[in-house]
Amino acid sequence: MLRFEGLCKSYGSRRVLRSLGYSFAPGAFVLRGPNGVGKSTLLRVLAGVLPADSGKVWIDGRTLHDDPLAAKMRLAYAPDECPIYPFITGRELLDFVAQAKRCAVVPAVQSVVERLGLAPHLDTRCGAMSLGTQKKLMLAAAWIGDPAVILLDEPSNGLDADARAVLAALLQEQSAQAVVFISSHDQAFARAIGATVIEFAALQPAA
Amino acid sequence: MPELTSPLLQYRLRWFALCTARLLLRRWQALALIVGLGASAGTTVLDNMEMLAYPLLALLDPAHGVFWRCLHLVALLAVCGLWAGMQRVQIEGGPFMAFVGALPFSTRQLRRVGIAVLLLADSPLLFLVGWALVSTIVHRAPLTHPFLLLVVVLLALAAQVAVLERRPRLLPGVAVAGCIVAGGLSLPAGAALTIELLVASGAAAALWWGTGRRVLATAAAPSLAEPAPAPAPAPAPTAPVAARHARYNAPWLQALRLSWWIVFRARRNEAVGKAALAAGCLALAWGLARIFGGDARSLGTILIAQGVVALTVSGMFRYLHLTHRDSCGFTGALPLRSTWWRPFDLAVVAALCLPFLAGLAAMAWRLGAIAPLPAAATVVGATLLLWALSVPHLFTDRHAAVLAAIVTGLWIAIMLASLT
Repeated sequence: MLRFEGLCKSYGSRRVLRSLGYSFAPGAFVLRGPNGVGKSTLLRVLAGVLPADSGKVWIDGRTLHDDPLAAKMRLAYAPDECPIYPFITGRELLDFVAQAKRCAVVPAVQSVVERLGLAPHLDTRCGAMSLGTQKKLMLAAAWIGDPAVILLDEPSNGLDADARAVLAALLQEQSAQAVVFISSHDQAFARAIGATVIEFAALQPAA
Repeated sequence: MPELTSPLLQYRLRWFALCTARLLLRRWQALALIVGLGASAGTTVLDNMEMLAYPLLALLDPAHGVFWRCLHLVALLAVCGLWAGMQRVQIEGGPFMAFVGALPFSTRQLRRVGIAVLLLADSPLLFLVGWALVSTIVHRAPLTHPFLLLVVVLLALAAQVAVLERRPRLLPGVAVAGCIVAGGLSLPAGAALTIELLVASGAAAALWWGTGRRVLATAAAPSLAEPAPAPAPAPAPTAPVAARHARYNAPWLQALRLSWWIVFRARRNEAVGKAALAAGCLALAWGLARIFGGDARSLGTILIAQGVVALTVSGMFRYLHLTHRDSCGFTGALPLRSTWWRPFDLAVVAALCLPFLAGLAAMAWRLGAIAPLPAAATVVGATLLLWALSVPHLFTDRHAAVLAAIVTGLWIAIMLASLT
């Protein structure tokens, strides 16, 4: 469902990703590694937000390079930050993502919204939301379009204990049918999802 | 063209309006000020229009040769590229567009939305083009003239897209296309029009369908917080190295470097734009002063140019001040006095401005319009003006531009009165 080969990415003269490769079947996976090693960069490359210098990414059988629209239809990504325009309401963001994926905000997504306790905030502008609420909104948007691959960067950051428990349960459910690939330092959260921990170094080819 | 009515375009336009409202307002204020000054000088509306649209209308002047016209058109395209580069963050749509990059929007959809936002960013420039078009119609210029102006708009858009998509390799192509059109104007009307049509079609097609995978918004995807590169582990400094570090890490030097970094790292496009504008002022003043042959008008021209250069470069104070203010959430807890950054900001902005001020003074001296000592005094005076222009940015965002313009006008009057 998610596969990448020979991924390389540099910022100027500094190489961040060196020929990374891995193949994932449905399940939950937590990527672990020291700060600044390139975990967020990898997720952004896999999400198609940042172009790789070389290498290929397959999302549910479609290559991100050759067929980006079809690949992104089957993909969901929530960055660590919440880069939403401050004037957009929660509902508008969900509608926007649904429109981009040519689908509707189905009852399953509404259920995620309710379980995360977002319903009372849907008509609030993002600029007026707390960071935790913004984070929940980004995470709820990841359920739109029935994605085959969910990429989440530090999803438990900034969430209260109840929301973390709900998110862990949601991800555990979703991992039965999709690849849930998470970058996180939160070991308790990884255990709660029942995720396989992958060290960043393991993605690199053996020297 | 469903993308032109899409929520994405609405959000992008709203974001642009939100983060550039004041800047755009100031540009329109400056335009209104110039029109007002022209009107107060008793010029007609048409004269006023022609004065403002002169850079475009000069392109159509048959008195100029092909070489001059090519150079002029390339310079205009470069200014348009700088104009877009200066507004890169606002035009690209901010960090939200990095998230949008993960959604299934096609390259064309994103490009077309990006161009729509770019057109809004270009509105003051398009206003000048509109006036130039009206002028050509009023003067019943040949059809090739208004059509050339439209081709220039398309080429300028292409240059801006190349700048925003960080594809400098496309720029020589745009410049060559500009030279072909500029050169074609000297040919018979039919041939000139054919060339213009061909170049316009090529530019429009490239803008509409694009020439690659990059698009305005996602070309700079690292607009989400760029991961800090992990520094290579540094060896423990030996005693002499540690001493050198201590010397280089003097607090004043750190503060100076901070201001330097804000200008030349975070605000490099704006700094380059202002430096280019100052260089333009210098070139214009040099040309006029030479025409005046070093008489009293030359000194006046040079002093006005010094004032305009100081006023232009003083705009950097706003960016510096905003950046410092944004970091107050952290730096406010440090044992520093409020507005600790002011002298360092002044030093960096003065370093950017002084070469132009000194160049203008040297020019006046060389033309015999002023003695060396008063020439040096104009540089000192202009530096003091720069200091004075930093003050409005500290207290008022909204009226800083108007106050700065008034202060500059007063400074020019005082300097003229004391030196002539």
